[in-house]
Amino acid sequence: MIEINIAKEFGIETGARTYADGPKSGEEFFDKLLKPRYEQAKAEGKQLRVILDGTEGLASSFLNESFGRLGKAFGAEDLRNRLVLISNEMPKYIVKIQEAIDESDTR
Amino acid sequence: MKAILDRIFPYSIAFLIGVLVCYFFTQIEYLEIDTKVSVPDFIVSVISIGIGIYLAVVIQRRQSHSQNHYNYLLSKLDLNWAAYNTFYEGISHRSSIELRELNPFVKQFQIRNNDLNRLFDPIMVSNNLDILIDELEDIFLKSPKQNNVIDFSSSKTEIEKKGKKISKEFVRVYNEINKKC
Repeated sequence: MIEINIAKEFGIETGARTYADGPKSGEEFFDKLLKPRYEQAKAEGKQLRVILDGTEGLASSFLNESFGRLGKAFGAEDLRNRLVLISNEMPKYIVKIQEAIDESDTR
Repeated sequence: MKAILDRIFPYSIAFLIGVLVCYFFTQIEYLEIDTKVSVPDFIVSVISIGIGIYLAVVIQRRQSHSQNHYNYLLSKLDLNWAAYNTFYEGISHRSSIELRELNPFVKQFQIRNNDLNRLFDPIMVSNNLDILIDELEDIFLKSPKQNNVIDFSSSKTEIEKKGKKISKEFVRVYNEINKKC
C-alpha cells in the first residue's frame, strides 16, 4: 500500500484552495503529492492510504480542491476502490472528502 | 476484606439500632411498653428498615450519578463555549484572519463537540453547533485570501449574524441539558 501522511510530508499547517490563496494550498497538495502518489498506486495496482491526522486543521476548501481534482482526474469509482482515508481525530474530514469526490463526478 | 468489613460495620450497627427502635415503638400501646417480644412484629420491623435503607441508598446513588453527569456535561460545553467566545472576540474588532488561526480553532472545536455529542446522544440532547461552525468556516473561506490571510471585511455582517446564531445555539443546548439532567 502507498501512503501519504499530510502532516509529515506536506506540513502541519496547510493553506486554502488554490495557489492564488497562498502556500500549502489544496491545489499544491494535489500537484505535488496526491496526484503523483495516486498514479504510482494505480500503476502498481495498490491502494493509496492518506493519513489526515496530525495537522493543525484542514480547511474545507483545501480538502474540496485537492480531492475534487483527484476525483475529476481519475473518476469517483476508481477512487472508491483505491483510496483509503484515515482520520481518527476528525472523522468529518472523510465525509467532506467523499462529498468532494461525489461532486467531482457530476462536474 | 478488612476495608469491606470496616465499611459494613457502622451500617450494621445503625441497622440493628434502627430495628430495636422501630420494634419498641411498635410496642407502645397507650404509653405503655409491652416488653413481650412479638416475632411477627419484629420481622416486619426488620423488613421495613431493610427496605428503607435500600431505597435511601438507591435514591442517593441515582441523584449523585445524575448530578455528576450534569456537571460533567456542563463543564465540557463551557470549555467549547469559552473557546468560541475567545475566538469570536478576537475577530470582532478585525477584518482579517490567518488560516493558521482559523484551521486549529475549527478542528479543536469540532473534536470537543464530537465528544459532547457522544455524551448527548444517550440523553437525546440535540446539538447543531458542528453545522453552524462549518457554516461560519465557509463564510471565512469564501472571502478573498492572500498569502493564507483571509480578508473578511466584506462578510462582516454575515459573520456577525452567524456568530449570534452560534451563541443562541449554545444557550439552547445549555437549557436543554438543564431540562434533561
